[in-house]
Amino acid sequence: MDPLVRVENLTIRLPPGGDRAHAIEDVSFTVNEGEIVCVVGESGSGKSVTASAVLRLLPRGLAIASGRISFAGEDLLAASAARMRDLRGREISMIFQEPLSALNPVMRVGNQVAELMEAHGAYPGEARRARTLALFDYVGLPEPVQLIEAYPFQISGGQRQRVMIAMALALEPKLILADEPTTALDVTTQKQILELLRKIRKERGTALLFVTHDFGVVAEMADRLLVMEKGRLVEDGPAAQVLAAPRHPYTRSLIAAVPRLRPAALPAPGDQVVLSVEGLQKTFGGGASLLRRRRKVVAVKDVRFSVRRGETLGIVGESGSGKSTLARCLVRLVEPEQGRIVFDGHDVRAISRDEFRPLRRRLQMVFQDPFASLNPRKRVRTILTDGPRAHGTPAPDAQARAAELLSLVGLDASALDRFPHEFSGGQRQRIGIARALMMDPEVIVADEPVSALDVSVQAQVLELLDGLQRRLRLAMVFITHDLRVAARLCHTLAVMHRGEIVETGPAGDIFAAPQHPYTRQLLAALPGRHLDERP
Amino acid sequence: MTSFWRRFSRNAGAVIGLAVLAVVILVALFASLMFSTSPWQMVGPPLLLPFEEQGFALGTDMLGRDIAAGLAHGARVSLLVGVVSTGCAVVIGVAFGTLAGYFGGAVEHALMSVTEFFQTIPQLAMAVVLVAIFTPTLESIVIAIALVSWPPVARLVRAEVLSLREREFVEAAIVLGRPTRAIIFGEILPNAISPVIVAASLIVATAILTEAALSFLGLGDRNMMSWGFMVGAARTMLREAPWLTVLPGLAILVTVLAVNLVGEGLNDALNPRLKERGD
Amino acid sequence: MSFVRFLAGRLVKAVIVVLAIAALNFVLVRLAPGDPASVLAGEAGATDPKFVDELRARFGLDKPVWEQLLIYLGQVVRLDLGFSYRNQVPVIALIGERLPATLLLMTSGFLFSLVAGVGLGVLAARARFLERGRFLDSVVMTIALVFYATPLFWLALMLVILFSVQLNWLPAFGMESVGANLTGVSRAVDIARHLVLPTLALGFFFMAVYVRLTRAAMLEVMNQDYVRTALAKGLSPREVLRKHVLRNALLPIVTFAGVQLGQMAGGAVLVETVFAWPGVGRLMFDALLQRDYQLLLGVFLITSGTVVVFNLLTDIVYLFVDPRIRVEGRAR
Repeated sequence: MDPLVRVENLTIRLPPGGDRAHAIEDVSFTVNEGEIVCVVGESGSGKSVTASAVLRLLPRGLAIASGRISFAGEDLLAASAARMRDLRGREISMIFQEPLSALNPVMRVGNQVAELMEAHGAYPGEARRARTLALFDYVGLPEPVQLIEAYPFQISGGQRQRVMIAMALALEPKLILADEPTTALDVTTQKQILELLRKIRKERGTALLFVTHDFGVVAEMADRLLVMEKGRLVEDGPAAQVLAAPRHPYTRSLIAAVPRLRPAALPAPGDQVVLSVEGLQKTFGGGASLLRRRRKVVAVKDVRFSVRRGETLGIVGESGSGKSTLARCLVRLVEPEQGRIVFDGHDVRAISRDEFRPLRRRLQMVFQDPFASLNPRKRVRTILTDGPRAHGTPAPDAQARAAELLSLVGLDASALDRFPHEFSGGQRQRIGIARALMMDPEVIVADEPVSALDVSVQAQVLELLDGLQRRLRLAMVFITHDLRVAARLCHTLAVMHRGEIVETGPAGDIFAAPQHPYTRQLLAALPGRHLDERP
Repeated sequence: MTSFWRRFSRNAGAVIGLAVLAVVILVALFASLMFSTSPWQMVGPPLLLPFEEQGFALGTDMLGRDIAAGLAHGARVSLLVGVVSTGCAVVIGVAFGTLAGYFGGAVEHALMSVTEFFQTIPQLAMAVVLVAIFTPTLESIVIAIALVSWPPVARLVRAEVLSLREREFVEAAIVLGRPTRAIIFGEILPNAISPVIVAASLIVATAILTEAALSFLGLGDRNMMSWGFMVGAARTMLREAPWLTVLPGLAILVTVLAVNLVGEGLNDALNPRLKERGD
Repeated sequence: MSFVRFLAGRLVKAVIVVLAIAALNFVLVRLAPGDPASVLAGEAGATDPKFVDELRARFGLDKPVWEQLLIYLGQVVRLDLGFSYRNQVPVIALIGERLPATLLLMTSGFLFSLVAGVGLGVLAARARFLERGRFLDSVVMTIALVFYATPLFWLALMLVILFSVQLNWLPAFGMESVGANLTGVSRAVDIARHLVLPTLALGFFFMAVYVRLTRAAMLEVMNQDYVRTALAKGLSPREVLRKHVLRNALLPIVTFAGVQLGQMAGGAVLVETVFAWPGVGRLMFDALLQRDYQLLLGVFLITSGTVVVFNLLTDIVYLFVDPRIRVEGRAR
């Protein structure tokens, strides 16, 4: 049987002046009917471009330089614009990463689905509404009759992605292109969406070209796996085979970089408690202005924990669980309204911000976004020495320390005179870590420090943090949404849900025998559990 | 700096605008050298056409005043008022915007209410009232234009500061224990400066137009010749001597156009669009 | 009914703004050099000691400042804006007589600039979106650039030179032909003919503003993900432009239309001055010439008040354009 999609020697040009000439180069692959093919790669690998090329919807400035794309035997690159419009939505649909921005904010979601049918003259009259309702029901949206009248901002992220899927399914296409469709979603929602996509394939025989960076998702979904590196396809094979025995060294390194959900062998922490928190509470909003009542959100509710010297405490939870607010409370970027934060024997909440300032030296933070966490207008030297200088360290001492720390985090001393934009994401994160270490802190609060990084870079930064931890015996509060990342680094875990810590304990115990239903749910939702059994 | 010039000069309009602006600035600087007598002085027969008589390249007005001298001296007022009042407006706007954006809460509410208030009032009408009540002098004109021009700067700076203060490098500075002053002046403002410069260039253009409108309405400083005044004075001779109106108006048009072009070039050079990702 | 609360909030705010403008007037008069009573009396009135004394009593100028402010605000609330000595009529009567002409001019100028500006802006953005006719885009943008730099009053005079003096097509002064005593349709036609040049003079600058705004807003929207979604549905670029791009670009356009009204009121002063249009703008110019400051401040107050009312109307339009406010009463 002929494949549904056949891509041959496809090369796509980038606009001139960039760091490379082609977004993808000489890429060939096929997708069979009813097959789920995952395209996996790190950022800049060209995986998304590959998917959008099939619909000929490339970002502005990109152009197909050579190659062939055929769909059900038809040459798509030779097809007229009108023919492409006819295919889009009817034979080939697309789902995007960020469902909020992929939906028109000022149009009711039901109309956005109906619009696709209208564009193809399908389901005229009354039938269109009925079809929309049936689709909403099929993708598991609650109360379709009410929901079709909603605007995108009124429904949750998972529901928006279901709307996008309903739209994609409207005319029973043969192929759905899915570009990181679950990346913006929480792990429990991701599980539901992945299940829905599998159900669609099973019941309707729709083929799926699924772009992702997440090997867990790949392990859940893929029949076949394409691995891309810097615009080139380096491996193509049945998913089980590629995951179990990758042939290409790049694939091997990628898979090796994915952390496993197994407690790592970590040195035992000390006995001395460095930081402890009791009854911490933070509420946002509330209080009404003259004309508007603001909704009250309890972000952190009655939280208690303690961290010992040499211990890493992982705080895990989904978005909106309050874990980031908690991190910000600890360093007083956010002022909690109740509770005690005991550091070095005194309740830091009881002292004024000015009195707290000298204590800040010993309580440092590492941030999430390597591109936002360094001032773009300052040289690395200034970024590193600003902190100690503010606490009275003489400039030459601070500079010497900066050079030392750069080599400790694995950067060359020449980095001192460069600006942040000259570094990659992983290097920037190293600079951010060095900045925190400049202060010789006793506690480091790390807020999702690796979640913005590609998996291979993530592994390196995790290793760096692990090494520093062993060497400096820091107490670390490590915030993450990713249980596997937590497993790599944490002695103890605290699971947060709706502002509360629902379960605390040694990481191994929690993975082996979760007590709280939410923890169990979280673990069950983790995609690709069998990947953790890798040696 | 070199990449700044490369991006600026890629915009042909901006380069032309800069050249024109340079000429206007030179004329303003050397007006008294080029025309030693006062532009208010009657120096020749009235209503000479341009190029009609040697020494009066652009002709004379109904009182025999040299048009070329008037235009040269008018450039001074236009540029002076444009630049100084914009400078004042930027200072007020940056102060308001920074305080509102950084401190938030009641401070922000109060400052932004004032800003919104000043933005609602018809700007020209308010400038007219201010200058009329405080008698037309160069100072009152500058102050009036500054007072009606700052709200956009305040809104822009507030928006920038709001987004910058959420940025992690600012939070990092707080966590490092740097003083608030250092955070505002060292971390936030340097990153907010580019859009302010672009906005300022547009405000210069508007300020020149406002000054011209004020002096057209007879609210100019009577000690200084200005383009708006020349248009206003020649208005009654519209049928008999249209060039008296046409020339100073063209001078305003060309100058403001040049300033706007330079502003667009600055925008291209200072706020380059992020390149589209090739992912 | 959160949008009712949204509107109520805007209404309260509008009232506060008008009172604040009145308070500003009060402060200006007290900051002005010289005795407040003589400032208010104006050049003509100040020569009449009886009138100055009357003013002193009327504004309670011997009382404490805050009490004076309250007296003044009380008068403003009752629409008592004082007496024009030169014209020997109450200020509010003068303004009331002139207001319709200004409203007519501003409405027609606003509509012209909005229609022409948004139209040309859409045309320019469309040329970019469909990736053809970049030439059209640059022509439109050049036109906008030139009008954006043209002084309003000078453009008005140029229009007079061209269309009245040279071509003799359209009248250059006033709102109606003097002594014609027309009625009904022919009067309307006469007014319309008088309206053309002032409308163009007032409208071209703001047209340029709307061209730039519309194009920028549309280019911004074109980069949004939902535009790609719409294309992936199989809609044609034209449909995407109409149903998705333009619809979303309307939000900033409407917001900005409100902000521009203040500037347009200022422009009306210039245009009415040039064309001797019998509106409040011309009244402001006359007040300047006669140094009649009670009249000047009255005109300023009413002009600002009118802008506030128009802003309120913009907010209502916004309710229709943005469901987020309609449904949740969210502030923009």
